[in-house]
Amino acid sequence: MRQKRMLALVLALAMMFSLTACSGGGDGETTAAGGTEAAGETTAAAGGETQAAAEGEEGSAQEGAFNIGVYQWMSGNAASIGEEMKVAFEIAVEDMGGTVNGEEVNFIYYDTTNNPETAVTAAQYLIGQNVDAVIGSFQSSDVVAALPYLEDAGIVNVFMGTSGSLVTDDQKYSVRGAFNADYSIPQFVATMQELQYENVAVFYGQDEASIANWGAMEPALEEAGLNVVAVETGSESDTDYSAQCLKIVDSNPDVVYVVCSGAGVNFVKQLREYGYNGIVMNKDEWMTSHVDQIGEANSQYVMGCVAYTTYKSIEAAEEAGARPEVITFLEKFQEKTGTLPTVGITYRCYDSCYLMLEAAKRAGTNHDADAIIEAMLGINDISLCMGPVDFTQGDREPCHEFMRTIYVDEGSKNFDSWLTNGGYDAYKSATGREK
Amino acid sequence: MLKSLIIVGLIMGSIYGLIGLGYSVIYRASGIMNLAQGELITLSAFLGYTFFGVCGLPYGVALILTVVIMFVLGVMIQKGLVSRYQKRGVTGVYMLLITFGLSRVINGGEALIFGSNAKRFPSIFNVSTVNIMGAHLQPERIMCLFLALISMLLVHLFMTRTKTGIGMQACAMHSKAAEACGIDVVKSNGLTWGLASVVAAMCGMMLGPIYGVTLMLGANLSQMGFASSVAGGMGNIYGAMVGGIIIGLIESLVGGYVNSTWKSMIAYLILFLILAVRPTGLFNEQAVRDV
Amino acid sequence: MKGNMTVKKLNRIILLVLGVIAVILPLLITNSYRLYFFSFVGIYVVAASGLDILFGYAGMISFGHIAYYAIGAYVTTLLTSYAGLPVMASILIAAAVAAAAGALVALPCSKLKFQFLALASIAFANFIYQLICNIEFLQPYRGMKVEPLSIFGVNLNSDYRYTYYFILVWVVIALLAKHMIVKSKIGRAFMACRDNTRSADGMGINVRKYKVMAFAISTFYVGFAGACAAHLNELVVCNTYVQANSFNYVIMCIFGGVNTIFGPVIGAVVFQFINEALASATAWRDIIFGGIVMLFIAFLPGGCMSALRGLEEKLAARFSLGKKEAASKGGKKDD
Repeated sequence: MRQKRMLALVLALAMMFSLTACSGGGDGETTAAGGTEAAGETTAAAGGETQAAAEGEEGSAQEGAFNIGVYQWMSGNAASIGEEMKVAFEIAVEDMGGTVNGEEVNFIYYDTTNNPETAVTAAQYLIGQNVDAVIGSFQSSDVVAALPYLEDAGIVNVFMGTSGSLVTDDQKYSVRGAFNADYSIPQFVATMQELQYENVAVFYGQDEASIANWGAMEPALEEAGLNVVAVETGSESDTDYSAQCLKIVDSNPDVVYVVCSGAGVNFVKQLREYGYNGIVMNKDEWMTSHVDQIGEANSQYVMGCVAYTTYKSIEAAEEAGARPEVITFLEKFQEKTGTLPTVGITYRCYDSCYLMLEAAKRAGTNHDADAIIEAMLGINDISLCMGPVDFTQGDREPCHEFMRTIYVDEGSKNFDSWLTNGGYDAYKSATGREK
Repeated sequence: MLKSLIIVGLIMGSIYGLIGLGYSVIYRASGIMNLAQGELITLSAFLGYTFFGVCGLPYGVALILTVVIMFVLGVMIQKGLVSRYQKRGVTGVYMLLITFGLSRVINGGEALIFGSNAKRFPSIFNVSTVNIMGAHLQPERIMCLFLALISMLLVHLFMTRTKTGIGMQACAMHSKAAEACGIDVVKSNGLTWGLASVVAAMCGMMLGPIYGVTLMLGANLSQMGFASSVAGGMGNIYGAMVGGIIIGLIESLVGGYVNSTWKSMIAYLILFLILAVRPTGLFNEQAVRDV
Repeated sequence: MKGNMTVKKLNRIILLVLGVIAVILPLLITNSYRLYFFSFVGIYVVAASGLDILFGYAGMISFGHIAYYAIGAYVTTLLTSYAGLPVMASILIAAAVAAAAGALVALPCSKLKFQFLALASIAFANFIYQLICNIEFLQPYRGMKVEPLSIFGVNLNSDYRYTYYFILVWVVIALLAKHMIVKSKIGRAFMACRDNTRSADGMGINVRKYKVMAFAISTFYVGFAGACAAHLNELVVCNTYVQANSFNYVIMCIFGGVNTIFGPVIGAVVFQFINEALASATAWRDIIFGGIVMLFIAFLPGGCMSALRGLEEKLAARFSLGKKEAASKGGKKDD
């Protein structure tokens, strides 16, 4: 009984002390008086002082280092993504030589827990930590929420979301470090026309990126004169897509276009079960994790138009004609962890980080956002996992080339070579389809 | 299409019913609402994946191993955690929060051990789909239906015909009186959780092949399972199944004829209305009213 | 009697300490993130206090209060963006709407036993979440922009010190109101309903009426908090309003101590700090958080307030012991 009370007291006191320790913003190394020029400021990030030195805890900015803040969903369902991201960052730093402009690179992470409002908090936190740069989430809704604050604070940031809606004209310090999913739309439509498809069925998920993508795809299909025979929607967390599958199969489409968070794995599986065995065009990369979830048979003939995709082994990657940069990255990744990345987001992480470090190097400084962003927008002479990087096209996008892939025979293959090598005929005879 | 939708609804309903059975069992035998049931299902799926997928053991062996391990885990949770809390006088809402905390811990543990990527649970049958009146179903789903029916029957027989089972119910009604009658309350309580965990184990082994093994497996489905057990009457074994089928049918038909995104919304609305209007559920189960 | 004195004295001490800290905080801390953080703490204090009225004083549990948080947030968004109402008025109206919703829910559900009430609240919260996700106009997934927090035309979000003081004022008002309610006849009726509904009924208290009232008051608080949060973040997204987030408020009350004025305050502060500390914990986050919840319930079910009370009692005991000795030795006297 006594012990219980003691323990309870200790617990409470520990809480109290940690409270005061954490909130101690006024003690220690504060910068000169007048830290807040709040009176004249109109932005939210009015003058901050580095509490970091006072706190000295993990996840805080360090003096004399290149502090890069990272906000992303890193726990729960995205825990593995978070782990792979950290490895990708490590590789990028090593590729840069370990230091940038003479300073070590220090990453400060903030988990957004799949909630864009937490992304706002994350942005505030990182701004308060006076970070030099920020790498942003692969989730487009996080980026939409956090970006205005980062822009206001004048912090250069590279984001990894792929939704077309993320880049707007009024941005000054933000660029994308991944590919713009909307750029794949013309290639998808061109492929449909190449294969002489007329009837298209669509399934889109209830999430920001998918809704935005469908919003861009719909007019493109119309313009190309394609016939949209069914449009269904659902959510990634749905348990059953029978109604949607029945309607799509009934409409007898030539191809089904799927855009859904998580690549709509369960939907694709049920679509296959309901008897549709034709090509599925999927906006997302068809990753090994997806194959893991629904099996090889259901993954057959999923076509993508992507900057990169995942492979089961380095040999498979080479065979599929992956870019040399991807292969080098995979080799380094395997050396560090013993396996290959299971999600395409890992490539985005490497590319974004490398771009940030490279821009800083070219600018000659880690702490001047204007110089860094200027240097960034001039990069057009390197090649990363996404392929040749070209920021000089004026759209703040680095990636303008996609490769077409198709998942067939237990691996992601190059679509173009698949076509030329008679893969399409094999597909037609295997499925009994005319198209 | 109506036929297929109905069949799908029945099958989904049986899945919900089987999950709801776990909730009902614990409630009937100990009066606790167990918010960690969903995570137990996910855990079972991961265990099943480890035995069946990774180790390559035959499905039957994997099933038995998983069931045994989950049973032991259930008993351990009861003995090591729940009863300790109950001794401290933790009841009611606090107990609910304990199960909530437990579910977070289990989920976190799974993320750490298995990683958050989905895992492949190999098919049990060689045939990938079976066509029943236009509804293309995975054979595992049909197996779910049978398993649900059988489990329901077995659990009911156990709780009403066997000495242990009746003892469990007695403990739930009045543990002191049960003790006075010579029933081993401690053992009985442990058995309750063990039984619920076994039900969860079977759910997990069934759901793994259908949805793949993901961290959210239990969480997504358990909400509806919970709803089923309430709709049928919390604590009523057959009620869980009936409630599940009703919810499954509603979801399926709404999805097919109204709007696929409205399914969950309407299902929850109906659950809320049931609780507001007839909280004792379909089978008029247990006294629920407070003044 | 000694116990009563201790509680009152404790409350006064805490009031003094917290009050002083709260008022001079922006002078101590100039980091704008930290001010934003404490502004949010203030919002959560209001929400947790509301839940405490329902749970700690009226004895009803709700795991679905996030629904009212959502209602408050979206109503104020719509009123300020489309009806052009001033922010302050809009927040109050939104809170009133949330209160009305709470009353509506409470009418049929307040008679349920706690497990079923919990379940009904979960069902309602899930329903509201799904409803939000299905109304395209609200742009649930991308998020809808909200007018910034402002009063008399002054944009408070431009400097988080303004926001902080604004919320501080409302926190004080909310806590005062709660104190008055609790001390009044209504509060006593709540506690009577909590402790024994049958006897309360027997004493002539209209149990139903007071239960609905408790619900409405608590949802007013939570709706108010939700509305403020919407204007603070200038964004409303559906992910914030998943049912699981309701547990946060219950946990805050438990951490701090139910049935007290300052419990929710301490609970909200502790909760937010834990959240922030876990922000870089990635995969360990869930385990640690779940573990903390379970430990608290095991060892400190009364929350930090009960621990402080224990501490205070111990100190008081020592203090009085010293006094006795001093008196007997004829030594110095403390007042």
